[in-house]
Parts: sequence; C-alpha cells; structure tokens
Amino acid sequence: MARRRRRSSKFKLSVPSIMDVGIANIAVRVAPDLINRFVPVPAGMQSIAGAGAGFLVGHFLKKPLVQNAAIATAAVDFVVPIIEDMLGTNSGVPITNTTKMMGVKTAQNMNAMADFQRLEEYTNDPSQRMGYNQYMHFYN
Amino acid sequence: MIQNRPMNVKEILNKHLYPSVMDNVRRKDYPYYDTITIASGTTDYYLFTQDVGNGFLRNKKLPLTGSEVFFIEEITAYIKEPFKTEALLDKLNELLQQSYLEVIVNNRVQAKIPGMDFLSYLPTQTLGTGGQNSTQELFVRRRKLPEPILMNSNSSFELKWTIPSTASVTLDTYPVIFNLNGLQLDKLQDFYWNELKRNMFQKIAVTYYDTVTIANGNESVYNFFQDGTKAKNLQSLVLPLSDIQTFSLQAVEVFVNQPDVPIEPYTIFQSRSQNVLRIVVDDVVYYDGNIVDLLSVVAGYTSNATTAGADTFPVERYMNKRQQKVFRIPLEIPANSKVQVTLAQQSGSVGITGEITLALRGVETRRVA
Repeated sequence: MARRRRRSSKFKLSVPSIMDVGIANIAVRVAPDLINRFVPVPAGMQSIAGAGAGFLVGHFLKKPLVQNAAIATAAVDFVVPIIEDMLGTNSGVPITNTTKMMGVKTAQNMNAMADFQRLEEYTNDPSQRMGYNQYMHFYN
Repeated sequence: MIQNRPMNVKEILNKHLYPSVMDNVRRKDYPYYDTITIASGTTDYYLFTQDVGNGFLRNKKLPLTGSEVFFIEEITAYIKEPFKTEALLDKLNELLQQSYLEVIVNNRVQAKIPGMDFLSYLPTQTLGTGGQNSTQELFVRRRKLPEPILMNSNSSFELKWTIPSTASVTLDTYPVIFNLNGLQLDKLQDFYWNELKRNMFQKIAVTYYDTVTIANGNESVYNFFQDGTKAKNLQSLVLPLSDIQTFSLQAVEVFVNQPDVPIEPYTIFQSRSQNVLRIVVDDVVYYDGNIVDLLSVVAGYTSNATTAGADTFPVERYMNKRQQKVFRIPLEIPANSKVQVTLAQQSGSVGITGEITLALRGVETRRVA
C-alpha cells in the first residue's frame, strides 16, 4: 500500500507564488482606475471590477494562483472597512512612518502631533493638490 | 484601495456628473434663485427662507427635502437698479468692500465671501446737461467655487448677506436677485447617502478679505490680517492660521474705491498701480510686486464736483476696472506659520481717504470637527 505523503507545515519561500500574489494585488488595485478613465465605475463596484481584472489577468497568464489571489484581495478590501467600523479603528487617512519616528509621547500630544503631521501630509499629497489648469477657470 | 480613500466634495460632484448603470438618482443642472429688497436700517438678509409664492421672485425655500441633494458650484447676485451718481457709486463701493455673504450648512460655516466676489451691478455714465447720452455697462461677477458646497438631504442651512447700515439707507428699496447655480440630485429610491463619512479633512473655497482705511497720501505700509478687533464685515480672519487649517492661495485682488471727495478715476488707478504688495511666509518672500495686474477700481466723477449736492448729479466719467491675478503656482500657507501681507504706498498717493480691500482667494483645508 502506497504511503500517503504528509503535507509539510514548514515555511518554504516560494518566489513564483509571491510574484503571482503580487501580480494579483497590482491588478486589483490599479484596474479600477484604468477602467474609470473610459467608463465610470461606481464606488460599490470597484472591488468587483478589480477582482474581475485580476481574474482575467490570471487567465491570460495561465496562473490559477493569480486568479484566486485576485478574488481573495478584492474580498478583503470589501470586508476590511466593515471590520474597522465595528472595531472603531479606522482613521480615514493612513498613518505614515513619520509619526512613529517621534518617539514616546503622551496620549494627548501624540494626538495633536499626529493631526498636524496628517494635515500637512494630506495637503501635500499630490492627489489632493489642485493644479493651475484645474483652478484657473474658476477665476476668469 | 480606491473605494476606501475618503473623497472630497469635488470628487463626489465629478462622480455624479456622469450617469452610470446602477445610479438611483436623477441629476439636473439647476439654479436656486431668491430676491430680497434692501430696507433702510436692515443690515442682515436671510435668503431662501420665504415660501416660494411668486415664481418670478424665488423658486426654492430651504432646507432641502429628504429626497434632494444639492451641490452649490457658483454664487452670484444682481443689484437691479443702476448706479448713476457719485453718492450711489460710493454706496456700491460699500457693498463691494464692506458686505459679506455667509453660508452655513449643518451649523458649520462653509463659505464667507465679500460682496466684491459675487455682486453684479450697472454703473451708468451720463453726458450732456439734459442727460441725452449715457453709457450703461452691466458688470457681471460670479463666484465660482473650486470646491463646491454640499447640501445633503435635510441639512440645516443658513445663507445670510450682511451689509453696512449706511448703504441700506441710501439703497432703500433696491431689489437684489441671488442665484445659486449647481447640480441637483433627486433620489429615485429612498436611501441615506453619506459619502463623506470617515473623512478627517474638508476642503472649502474661501476668500480671506481685509479692508483697511487709507490714512493719508504719505509713504506708508498697510498690514493686512493683523488686527483682531475689526468687525466681521471688514475682515474675515487674522493670520496666522490655526493648527487645523492650511490655505492654498490661488488668486489675489486689491480693490480701491473712490475717495470721499471724488477725483478723476484714472488718477486713482495710475497712483495705486505703483503700490507694492508683499507676501512673506516663514521669512520667505513668496510675492513682491506692484499691483498693476491685480488692481481694481470702481469710481465715478462729475466735473461739477465743487457744487453743492454734486454727488447727486449723474456721473460724467466712471471707471469700473476689475481684475485679479491668478497664480500658476498656488502659494501654500501652512498651519501655524508666520505670515506677513503688506501693501506699501509711495508718497503723494491718491486717492487719499477711502478704503483698500485685499482679497486672497483659494482653497482652505481644515480638520472636520
């Protein structure tokens, strides 16, 4: 009787798997923006659009792992805000590493410093800056 | 993930301008208009508070119903009487420099703009003793908002125009038509719409304005946004900004009115054009130049200036020059920064007496309280 081989539980770095998951994540995150340039994608459909794009990419690359990872990533993106709302941990703006570099602070001034850091980061973020071509016609 | 990044009002507006398959709203390019009549002694006028009644005067009473959402993209107001005399042009200047419009939605100020931003008016020049020849030039001004104001269903709303008491006396019975132009969404299904939830920051279109009195024609420097004791209709805020605000300066205008004793309007422009505007932020000079490109003058003159009651004669010459400089690179003023805004005038300046108003227009980012 052939012996059934037990699946190893040891961690084994698999570069192809990492690349496949990476490709799936890129497809899920970038595809909705690209599709939006041609056809408006409602907010509730962006996860689905990303999953669909990742699935197609995996299909054309003949990589089932990419397809599965795309579905899992889209599902996580859909579920995370709900969980954050339940736990009350969603700040709305990602905290960057600069706030962690401030050292140990009291809870009160950590909040004040963090808000200041985030305000400047928010206004300096290129996606939030309005260019001359965008605002010039408001003043003509 | 894109759908989790908080959107500002402009992004939400752009999203709803174009129909898509699963939309459950009807979109309309729609104006709200209301007409008020200036009454002697009344300085505050509350808009969109009366029942519609006469459709030629107004088409909306606020607040919105539970099935409507409105984005305010543009504000304008038209004063329905001409300004023919020096005395009337003087009161027009008071409306432009010393009146302001305040928009409060859900108990938070969303806009506070001076009259010079949105008032349209009709200066009239009359030639000949019998008034045979006249020139009428309707000047239209609209305040377009780079960041629209969102009025959600059932939002509490207050739109108030405050004018000086002296202007209300002279301009008694003058009708003024206010228009709010924007996008209306009618909900086709009953749903609660709150796309601004979890936003930490909010962007609003602002005009920081300050009006200073011209003391004399000597060489001197006027400092703006420093005096914390001024009335609200003369100054919108005092610099520096608080720690929860930043400001992106996109356009600037310097407005000079006619002096108490009117003079040839072109002499005012010629003299003021040499004034120097300086903006220094945290000891860095961001702007230093004359104001030829951003100087506005509204003034009238009659050659019988010394005759008693001359200010009631039809003006023979007037200047209505309005301009502003739009920065190709917005001037960013951070929170808590040291800011100096000064206007230097040379010796022998005209017109002496009168007021100078500086308007800084742009977008303010503030924390959502």
